[in-house]
Amino acid sequence: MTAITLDNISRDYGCGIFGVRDVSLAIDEGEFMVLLGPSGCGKSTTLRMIAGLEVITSGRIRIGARDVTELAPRSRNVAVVFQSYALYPHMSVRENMRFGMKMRGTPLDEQDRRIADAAEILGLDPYLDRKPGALSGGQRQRVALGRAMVREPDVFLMDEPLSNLDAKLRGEMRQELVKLHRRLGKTMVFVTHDHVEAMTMGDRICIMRDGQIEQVGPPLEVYANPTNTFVAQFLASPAMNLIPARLTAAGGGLGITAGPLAGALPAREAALYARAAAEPAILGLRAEDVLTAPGPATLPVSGKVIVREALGAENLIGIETDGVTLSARTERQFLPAFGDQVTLHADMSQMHLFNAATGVAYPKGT
Amino acid sequence: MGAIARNRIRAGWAFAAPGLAMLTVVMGIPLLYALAISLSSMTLINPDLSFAGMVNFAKITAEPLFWHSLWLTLRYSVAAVIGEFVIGLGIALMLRQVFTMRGLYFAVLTLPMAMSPIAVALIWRMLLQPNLGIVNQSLAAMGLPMVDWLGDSSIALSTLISIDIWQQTSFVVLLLSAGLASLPREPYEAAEVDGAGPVQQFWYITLPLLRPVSAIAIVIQLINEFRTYDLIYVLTKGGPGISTELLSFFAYKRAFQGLQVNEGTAAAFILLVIILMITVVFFWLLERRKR
Repeated sequence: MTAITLDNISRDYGCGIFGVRDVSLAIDEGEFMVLLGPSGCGKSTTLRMIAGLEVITSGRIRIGARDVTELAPRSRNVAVVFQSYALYPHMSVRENMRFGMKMRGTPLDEQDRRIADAAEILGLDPYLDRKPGALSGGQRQRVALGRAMVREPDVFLMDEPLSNLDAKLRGEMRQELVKLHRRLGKTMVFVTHDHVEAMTMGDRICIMRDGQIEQVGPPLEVYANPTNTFVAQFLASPAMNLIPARLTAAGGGLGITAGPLAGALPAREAALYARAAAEPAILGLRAEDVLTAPGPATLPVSGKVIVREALGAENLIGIETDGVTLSARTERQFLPAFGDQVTLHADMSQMHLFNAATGVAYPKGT
Repeated sequence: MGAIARNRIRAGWAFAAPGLAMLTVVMGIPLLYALAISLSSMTLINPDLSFAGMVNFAKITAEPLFWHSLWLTLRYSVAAVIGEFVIGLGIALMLRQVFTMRGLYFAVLTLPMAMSPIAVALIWRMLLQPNLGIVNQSLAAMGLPMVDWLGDSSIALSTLISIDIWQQTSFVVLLLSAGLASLPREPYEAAEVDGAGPVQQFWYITLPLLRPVSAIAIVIQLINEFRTYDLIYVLTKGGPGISTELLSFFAYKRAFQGLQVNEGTAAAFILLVIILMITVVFFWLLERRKR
């Protein structure tokens, strides 16, 4: 039993400043949970509180059946992979991996066996006698992982472990970590500010802001149904287009006016958002739902091209009209020049709608 | 070589020239003159700078008193450095836990270091005065026997070492505090999660990471201790008997009391060579640290 339960945990720095405030989260046994959010949102603090490296001012933390709130880090049987790797600079790779086992009195032959296993899995065999200073960033990262693995902890805690790697290596390590998780089957908590890491690695993601949880759920579900404008914008690049909008009853259906966009909503959306009619709202459209060709449920929008990023496989096009900027992810053949006047088509069947005052999404369910 | 490189070299020499000239006048020439004296038959009675080869070196190294002084110097230096390092490390570790009035602690701790060794020696001479000194008065008040701190040949050297430690420890505290402050925090957090308690963290993390700074502190202090002269001059004059006659004082006595300035200078040169050797080790350590 190595589920993790956070029960209203807070980190109060005094003077009303909170690192984390009343966070409750249940992480299942064997789950890969990603804590995602911008800098200063409290995700690392939450992780450090689970590890015991940060004081918990109120609330309880349980790992498995044990209440670990008052326990020292060494008694929690967790392993941490730090952003800076935090390797012992004066010890060789082998000694770095051995240290935790030595402190716990693991028998020597068992230590050797685990080091050999981890080195093989992580491809560290050739570097076992080197010191961290003689390793590249990617290799150090592997050593940090290996050091965590050999301890055979109940829980792996990773604090932005990929953020110091270059883009290519980061992609590779992402896949390797997922493989490792499947292989070990241990509970892992992974902190990142990178939505791609969160989307691709997590069984579930927990999006945080200002020390509090905004939304928890499987990545695709959160992507499809963001609970508010913050989550909607944070979980994509380019961020979701948000346009102030107003819904009005029109001819038995529902019409929408959102900046340059105006027209009738498709029947399904009209039914879904009927109760938002007449309230100030915010229309949300993901870049991939702004199309280059008209469809059954699209509304046209014309504007001048002000962003033009050709990424090879696709293009990111930004148009401006009436002071509103709209981003579109288009097929690679669609590549207008800067300043061109183009017409794009917003797929209203994929629209999101948020309350303008609170930023909270209108529920899509029945 | 290009014009830019030539210009740089020229500018480098231009900037270095005043310093080099100064060093030549105040260090280079006296040093050469001293070397000449040590290789001559010059005494204060017969100031004749004629070359005598290694005679003076041979003569003093044949004397048991020279080896006695060298042995005392070694004992004195090593004991003082060990004391300073152990106490200094302890204080530096304690200061690491102090957050309020830290500046005040440092100011008080560095006071002995800011004092001239002569002043320190004079103060301690009064404190340790056999009959009226506050140390013995305090012992007497507690009903304990008085001790002749500087007049008893079995403890005079230890007394001098203690005074030296009292004055010099603050320098070690400063160096080690700077070293401790520069240690990264992450390995400690990793060690904490890995299961290391405070003692194990000190033994496996702090001490090894502090090794370069420790080496530098120890070598600087060794050099300092080898040169100790002022404390001896004020407090014991090498006595009682020859029980505190360090090599520096041996050289002084030979040159200015025995008037054998050539032999005294030879002894001083041997001391210089020892210090130079320590300095070489010091720079070697510094270089290794950079790599």
